[in-house]
Amino acid sequence: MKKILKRSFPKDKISPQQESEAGERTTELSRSLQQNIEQISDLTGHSSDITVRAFEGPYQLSMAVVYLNGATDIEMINDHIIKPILSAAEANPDSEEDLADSFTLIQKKILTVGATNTKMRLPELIQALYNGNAVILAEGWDRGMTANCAKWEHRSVVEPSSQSVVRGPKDGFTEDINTNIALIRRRIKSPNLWKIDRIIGRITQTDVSVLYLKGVARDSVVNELLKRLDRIDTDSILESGYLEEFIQDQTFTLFPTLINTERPDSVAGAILDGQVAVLVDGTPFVLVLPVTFFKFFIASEDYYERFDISTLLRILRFSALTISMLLPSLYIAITTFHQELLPTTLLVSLAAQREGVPFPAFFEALMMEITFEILREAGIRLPRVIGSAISIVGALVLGQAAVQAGLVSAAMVIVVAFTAISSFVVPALNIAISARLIRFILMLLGATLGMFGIMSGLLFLLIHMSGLRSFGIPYLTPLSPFVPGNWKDAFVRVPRWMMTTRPRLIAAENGIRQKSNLQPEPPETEEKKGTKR
Amino acid sequence: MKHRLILMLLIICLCLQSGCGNKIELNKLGIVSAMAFDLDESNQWIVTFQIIIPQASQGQSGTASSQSPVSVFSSQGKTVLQAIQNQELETPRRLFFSHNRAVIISRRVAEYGVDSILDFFLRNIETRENVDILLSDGEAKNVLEVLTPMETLPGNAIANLINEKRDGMSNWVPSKIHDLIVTLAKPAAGAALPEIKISGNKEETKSLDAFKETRSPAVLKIDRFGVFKQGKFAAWLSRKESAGIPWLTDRLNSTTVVFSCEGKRPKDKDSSFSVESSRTRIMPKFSDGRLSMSVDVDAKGILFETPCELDLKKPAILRQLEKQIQEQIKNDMERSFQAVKKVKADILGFGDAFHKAYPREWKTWSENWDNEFAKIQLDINVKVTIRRTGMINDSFSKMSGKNK
Repeated sequence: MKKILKRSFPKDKISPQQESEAGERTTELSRSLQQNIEQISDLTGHSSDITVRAFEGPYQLSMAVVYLNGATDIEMINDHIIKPILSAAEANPDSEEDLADSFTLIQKKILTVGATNTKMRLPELIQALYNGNAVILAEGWDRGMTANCAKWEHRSVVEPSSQSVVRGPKDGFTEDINTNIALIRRRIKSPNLWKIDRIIGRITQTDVSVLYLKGVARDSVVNELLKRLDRIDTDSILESGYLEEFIQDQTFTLFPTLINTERPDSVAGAILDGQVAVLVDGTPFVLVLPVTFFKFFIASEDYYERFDISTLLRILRFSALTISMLLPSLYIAITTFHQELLPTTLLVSLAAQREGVPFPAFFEALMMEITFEILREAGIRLPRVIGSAISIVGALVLGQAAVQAGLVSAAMVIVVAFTAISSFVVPALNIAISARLIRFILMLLGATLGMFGIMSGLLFLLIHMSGLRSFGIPYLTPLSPFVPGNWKDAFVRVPRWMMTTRPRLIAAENGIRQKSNLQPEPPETEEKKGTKR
Repeated sequence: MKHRLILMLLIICLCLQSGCGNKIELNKLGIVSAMAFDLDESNQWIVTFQIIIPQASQGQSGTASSQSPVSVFSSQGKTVLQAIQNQELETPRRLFFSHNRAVIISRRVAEYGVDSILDFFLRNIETRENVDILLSDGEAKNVLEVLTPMETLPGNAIANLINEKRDGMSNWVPSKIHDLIVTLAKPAAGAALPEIKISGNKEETKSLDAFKETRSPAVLKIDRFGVFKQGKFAAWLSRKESAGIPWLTDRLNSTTVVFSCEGKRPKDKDSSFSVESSRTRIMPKFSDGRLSMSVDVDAKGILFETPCELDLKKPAILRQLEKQIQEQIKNDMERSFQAVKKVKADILGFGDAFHKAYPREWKTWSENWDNEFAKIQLDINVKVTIRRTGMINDSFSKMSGKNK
């Protein structure tokens, strides 16, 4: 398979460095302000949002501030760069011989912005410009000064649309990486919450941050993650999905080996469990790793609601995924191969419904499943205003009318509808998508080999899953390898005071979370105290 | 990599080459709900099938269909399978036996021997051994032609007639094919099957018009027991004669014992005792060259109905009643045992008990067990406990004081 892929995608002949080589001859800044500005203008294609503000600074220095309109805070440039320099110019109207001194003077004594930097080379300077810095140039300087005035347009923190809860925090990540990090830091106020930054994407220069709890997360996982991140040499990272495909353990699998979430509390919880979060600028979806299969069935609400209902809901989610994977294939297999498995009355009822249906059960099921997938896809793309049309078409035309027209049996509509509803129960969307794909494969197996086909398909899946790993952690932990300690938070959720240790294999060796005798007890009454004495 | 590619191709081939094997769509199935076996004069098999018409038995949105829920076909053949093969020429659908609920055999077939039927049921993949098998005195196929008003599918009705009874009246002898096979396989045991009969005018219940009347012109009814000896029909036992069989075989779940509450038997003093639980222990004994069986019955139940003016609050009176009931049960058992003895067929499983208790002596007995069985003396001990007297204590006649 790999060979075929290699053949069809020959290695890129163009090396990644080539594009930037065009500006090689003019990388050095000259001492002439005019020339520098012209060079910046040339290299940026005379883009109109590059704004140049020229003025006279102290010692009669002609200066200019260059900034990117829309990416920078113009008020900040006015108040903290231009104003201080102009007032300094009033105080020192005379010219000075040593111009090199004026650079440090301005940087250290005049500017009131937070972070300033010195850039010697033009490409660096331009990159800083595009990162939202104001670039300060002056006649006679052979270097440029950058001052961070970045202010990108961004959404405010709102409730996440993909994972809403009844009880629990309602804030969600935004597209701004700094806001997102602040949302996590606010929950974990610890110096051990370490952050490692990378800039990935030759053209997009996207900020990527890795967040983990030092001493709780496994160093091997962090190192492996950084190794994989450093390997990436691509032109763009627009969403964490780009990154996911570069860093996941195995591409040719139906199962996701990374979780993405919009919820800061989920990420904070995962970090406290010893997992590592990867934040990407420009998307509210944060990657969490390593994960096991069972992590996909955990909603953050599980930890906020009582443990008993959380356990029940978790079991419900497992069964819902099983239903969404198996129900149509089981229906096909039983009605076409194993009619003896049905109770007589049900068999007669199903047979009566199938009377006059022209297609075989498999084709019938496939048709309805595809119809549903089309409906679902259309529902996502459709503008909200005409969204209700979908439900009318779906419910009336495709459900009732198809049965009345004798195209499909009523039982099949129930099966498909139940399957569809079940696939929405699982909190992580990406595992539900896996179930969707597996469903079609199992349907084919069920239609050709009956129950035997379904069983062999499931067996194959099980073997495949036991071989999967997410950053070195076996995918089926704690089932295989069997880690009894992790069962407290896999199929069931035990009360908080019983969760004394962090999940083994995921967290580092010293995984003690809390004291072990925290079970609440009724207060000692006066009488009891009396008898004790 | 090459191996993996070959493996994948093989898997794809597996799916495609299977050609969907024994796949059959639901609407291509002729679901058999009951079967009947008859023999004609030249000893050819006549097999009758009752096939479910799904759309008729499952009226959409509750409207009664004008079509009969089942259709009955008969076919002939030298062997059972040939008869079924001949059937395929007549029915447009493939016959499907997994949902068969009842098998009716005629007395003629029972006298001829049921071995080939049992062989067919054991050999076939689709047929099940937990099907009820019943005897019919006349032609068995007639039973399948009767429509039953309460159950849409007559096959289900026949099976439920035996299985779904709260008081277990009809389940006095095992009626599953499996039980029949097990008992017939034992060298010394005799088997018994319940009889199903049509009471009333059968011709009228062949059509759906029968459903229009409140009283069905003909009903299916469980009646006598047919006793099998050496795999062949031997004799009938009437209901009265068979009343003691469940007591002797410890097969009783619950039943009603009718007894007289005052010593002698004035007709209007008949009362009912409803047995809730009962246990029978049989102890085979061999002494002085004579076989005897001691039977201990422990029955508990409710006094359900009594016209007698007795003071039922007094334990002594209840003890007295218990004695009457014990006597009645004992009589039933004696009568049944005498009837079975007369046929000389051990349908009570006494042979097993003696085999277990006296394995060495059994070798000599087993050669002529039917005669040895007829010589067994019964020693019956019955213990009855009246647990409750229902919602009231004294009888209504006593409360109203009419009989004073």
